[in-house]
Amino acid sequence: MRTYILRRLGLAVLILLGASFVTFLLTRIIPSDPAMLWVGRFATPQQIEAARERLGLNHPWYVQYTRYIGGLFRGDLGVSVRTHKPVGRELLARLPASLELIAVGMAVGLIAGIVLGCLAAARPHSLFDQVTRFLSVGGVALPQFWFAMILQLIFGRILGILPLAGRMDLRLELSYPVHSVSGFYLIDALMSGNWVALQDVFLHLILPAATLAAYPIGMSARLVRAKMIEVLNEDYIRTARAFGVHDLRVFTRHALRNAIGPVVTLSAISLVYTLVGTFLVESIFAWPGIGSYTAQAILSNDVSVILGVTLLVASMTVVFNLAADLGLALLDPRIRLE
Amino acid sequence: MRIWIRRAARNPLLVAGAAGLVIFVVVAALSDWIQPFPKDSQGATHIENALRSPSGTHLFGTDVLGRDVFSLVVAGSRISLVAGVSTAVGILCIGLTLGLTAGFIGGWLSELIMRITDLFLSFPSLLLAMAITAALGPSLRNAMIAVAITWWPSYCRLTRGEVLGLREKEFVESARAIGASTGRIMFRHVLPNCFAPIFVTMMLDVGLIILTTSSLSFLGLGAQPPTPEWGLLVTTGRTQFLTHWWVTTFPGLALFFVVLSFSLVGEGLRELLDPKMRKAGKGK
Amino acid sequence: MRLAKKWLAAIGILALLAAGLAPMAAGQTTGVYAYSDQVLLHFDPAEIWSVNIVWFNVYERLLRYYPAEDRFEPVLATSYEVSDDGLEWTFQIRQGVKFHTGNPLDAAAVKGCIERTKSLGLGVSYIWDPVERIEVTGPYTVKFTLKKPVAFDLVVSSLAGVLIYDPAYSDTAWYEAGNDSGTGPYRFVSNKDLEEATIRKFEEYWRGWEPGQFDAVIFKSVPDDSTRRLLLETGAVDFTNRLANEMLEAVEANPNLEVYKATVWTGFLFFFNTLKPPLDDVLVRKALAYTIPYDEIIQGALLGLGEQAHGYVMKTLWGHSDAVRAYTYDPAVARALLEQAGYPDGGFKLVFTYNLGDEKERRAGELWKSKLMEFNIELDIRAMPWDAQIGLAHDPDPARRQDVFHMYAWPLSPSPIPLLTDNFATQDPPLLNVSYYSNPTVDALLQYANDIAGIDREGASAILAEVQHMVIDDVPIVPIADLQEAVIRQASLVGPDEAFINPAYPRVVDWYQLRRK
Repeated sequence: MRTYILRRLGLAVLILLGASFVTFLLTRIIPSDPAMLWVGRFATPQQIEAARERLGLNHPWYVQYTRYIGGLFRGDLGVSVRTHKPVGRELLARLPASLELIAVGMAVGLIAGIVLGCLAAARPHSLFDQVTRFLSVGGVALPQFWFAMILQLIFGRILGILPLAGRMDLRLELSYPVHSVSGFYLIDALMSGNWVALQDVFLHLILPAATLAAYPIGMSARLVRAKMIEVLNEDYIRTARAFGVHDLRVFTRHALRNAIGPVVTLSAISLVYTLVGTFLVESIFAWPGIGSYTAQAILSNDVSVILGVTLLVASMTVVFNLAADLGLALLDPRIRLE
Repeated sequence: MRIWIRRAARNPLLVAGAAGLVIFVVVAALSDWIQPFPKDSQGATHIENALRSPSGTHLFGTDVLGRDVFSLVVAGSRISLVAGVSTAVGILCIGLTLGLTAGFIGGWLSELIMRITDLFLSFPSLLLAMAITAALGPSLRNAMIAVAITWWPSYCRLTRGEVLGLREKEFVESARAIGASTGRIMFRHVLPNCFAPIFVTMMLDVGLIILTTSSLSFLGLGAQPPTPEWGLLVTTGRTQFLTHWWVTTFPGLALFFVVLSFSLVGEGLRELLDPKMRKAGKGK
Repeated sequence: MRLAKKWLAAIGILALLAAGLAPMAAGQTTGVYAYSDQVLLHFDPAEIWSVNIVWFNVYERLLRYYPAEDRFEPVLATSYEVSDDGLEWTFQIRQGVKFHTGNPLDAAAVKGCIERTKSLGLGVSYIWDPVERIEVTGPYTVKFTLKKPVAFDLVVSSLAGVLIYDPAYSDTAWYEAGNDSGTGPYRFVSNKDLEEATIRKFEEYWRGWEPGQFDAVIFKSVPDDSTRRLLLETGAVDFTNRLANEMLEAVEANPNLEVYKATVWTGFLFFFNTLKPPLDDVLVRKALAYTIPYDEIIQGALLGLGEQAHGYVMKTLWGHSDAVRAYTYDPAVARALLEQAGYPDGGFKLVFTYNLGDEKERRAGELWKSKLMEFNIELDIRAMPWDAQIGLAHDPDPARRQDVFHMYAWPLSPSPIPLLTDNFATQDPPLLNVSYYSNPTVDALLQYANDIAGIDREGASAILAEVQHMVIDDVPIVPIADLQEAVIRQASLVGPDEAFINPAYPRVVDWYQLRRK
């Protein structure tokens, strides 16, 4: 077990290095001048040159890359060309907002999907089953950015019952400020007994989380249904039924446990997919997370931020994949880690 | 063959998806004739006609520069079809070749290919695609290249898996016995035998490829104006969206429709070909 | 059931708030400004060159300029005198003014802070370059000796670089920690990254306070237009600096809100690459100038928020001359010129770059493209991030650069000369002159105008008009429109218009002059 983990982590480091290298090269392909972005419109040639020096742009690319990697080991992810602030700090400050959104979206999606999948598997080929399958395919096929806007239109503008954007109403943010300890407003508001804020934060979470939940619902409903049907037809299940074991017990005890496995694996993958999907969704809902931050960075060619986000997301992918594999091994003793 | 068709016909999802695909291909093929205002999709503008709501003349209304949204959406179907299929072909070419090589030849080459595959797979695909398009310069062609680069790894892995299973089979032995070269064996004998599941997966994925390309255009990194690509249309309608909903809604709906059709067909095919699924109906 | 309870609670709370119970510190009047971009960038007053909406209320200048009346308001300087040769400017510094740090304002402090700004060389400190020497000739008298008689009063009332602060505090880190050493009506309290800032009343402000003024102001970055609009409509914010032009109609109809269309001294320009065929031929450039649908662009791309430009100096900025020719959309003339240039059927392609994400620029490009189609000229529209765009324009090989660079331009001080210099004076290597235009006569004239502007503004204006006539005939740059921006506020706010509409200080709100009814 330990050697397995160590090996995986070693591989992970190699992957991260490779990812950073590829991203770095990509940002060097375009003939661009980040120094001009740094100094702004009214800068003199001397100031531009000084900025180039400061940003290390006068060195050849391999020197710049080496310096960047060196900085990584000291925890220095460079400085954003647009905001002049350290990338690491900005990413860390914005990460909880994204994580909160993703956690809620995925939780809702997975649970709803599992329930739907089970119910559909219980009555294969029925109308309910067909509808569920349609919805599950639809959830994965849905263009997230478009769906977000439609939800905004229907619930925000036409019906007017849910807020359009942001994490919290501005007035409430001023009069009932949330003391941010964890960065997760739901938790912070709860812990400080700030019910007004809790209400408001919850309402603001609904639409973006619903948008992000579509993919996990689709994926897990389809997967659970498929696995459940497969498992339900296994001989030992039939035997249990033949012996008169109660249906529900069969369902939960035996079938579900076997079906959970692939869901765990795919949760890890869809978590990262969702994390990336937030690039689109966060921009539309003006959600102050790393998604909207990255979208802005890509549009303004903010190299350090792009590199920082790539490394962050790639690390999360690797970690979650490892966690999923380990979790799977724990859940299912038949699986052996090699 | 007829048994398959009959089975297929009994699967409502597959039928619905197939119907959707047929509509899509027909519209794309006949797009020049279906568009009521074909000049609009090439860039013509009519300011005086801006932001009209859907009506008899303009089924989907007009956008902020007065262009007929229905024509734009129809023209976009051809763009999405061509983009989706070309990218898919590109992915298959790279993925199949590398997967076959890795699976069949093995050795250090296989290791190298698989490590590169792992590297690319650890990258969240949209982020990599965004970085590649930003690097190459925003354009539809570069977006397609970026999507192809992010997708080939999973096909490489898939192919390799299939090939590993077939490597020891008899027909391979016999082909070797009669002196066929490795390349010939790979492409003439092994490939046709493992193609089916790969094709099904691709069918499921073409829709998602189109979706990813549109997402890149939505961010401004893909198709450039005035190309009537659906993702780009959705983003250009964004600032007027809450007061003039039609500019964004219809292109997005078209996109959803097409991706859904591909996914339904893929899903249906998978069910059709998977023996375990077929048992399910009879079990209860 | 739980959900229903939640809704009831939400409605109850909202009703309470609607009833006007603002449970902040009792009796405090707080203003809120929702801004479309980030609210802060720099903290050190020697470095601040942009986004003044916060710092305008914290730091002050010697003079403040009102272009509509061409009037200078004495702020930290009560009066000034100019010598006959325009080289000596003597300012009387206001007495009884305190910095937020507690130190008093005097001539020595003014000299000290300007010298610090100059020596640090950050931001737009080069704005002080015309100054040869600063002398303290009395406890409250400062004399500037200039190298050339430039318009120094315009310099000291600039948008940035000329803020007066306490030179005793010279550590940038102290400023970055959130402290300020200004003299303004408000002092800096706190910020949340670059997205939010709070300022609070400085009790000892030299103008004094009356009841009803704002005790505190919060600046918040709200990039999404729909959210800003909603905040305005629900009364949650007092001010916002712009809304997507499509929303303005609906907002204008709202009796609780006031919409102003303010001139912001920002030009909407197409720069032609004069070093690359076919645009190296002035006939082709002229022809293209007649193919641009100016009115359509103002209606369709700017959605009405702009006026056709006359020349390269924006309306209401001195140096502007309505006499400068404005091109119009005239396909017949364009065709004749194209034929004369040797392209009777068009047949060439132009690469047009604009800033990725900018809706106005994109639409302008699309509108022009659609017109060019009729001349058989292909416009290849490309969105690029700003630094890639400028990087391309600085490519050592002119043939690789774009053909048309779509860009905005705006001045740093209320003077058109640096603006024109940036745009079309000879630059080698090019900086912002991305048409690569080089005309020694123009360069000389601009230099001369700059040198006499201090003593002879009229003369300088006449020269600038001459320069514009020359350049518009060569048309390396087509000035499409002078932009306007919508400024929207609550109708319940009372105060002079110039407190928030002054093109010399765009998007800035002088909260000290406002009150809530």
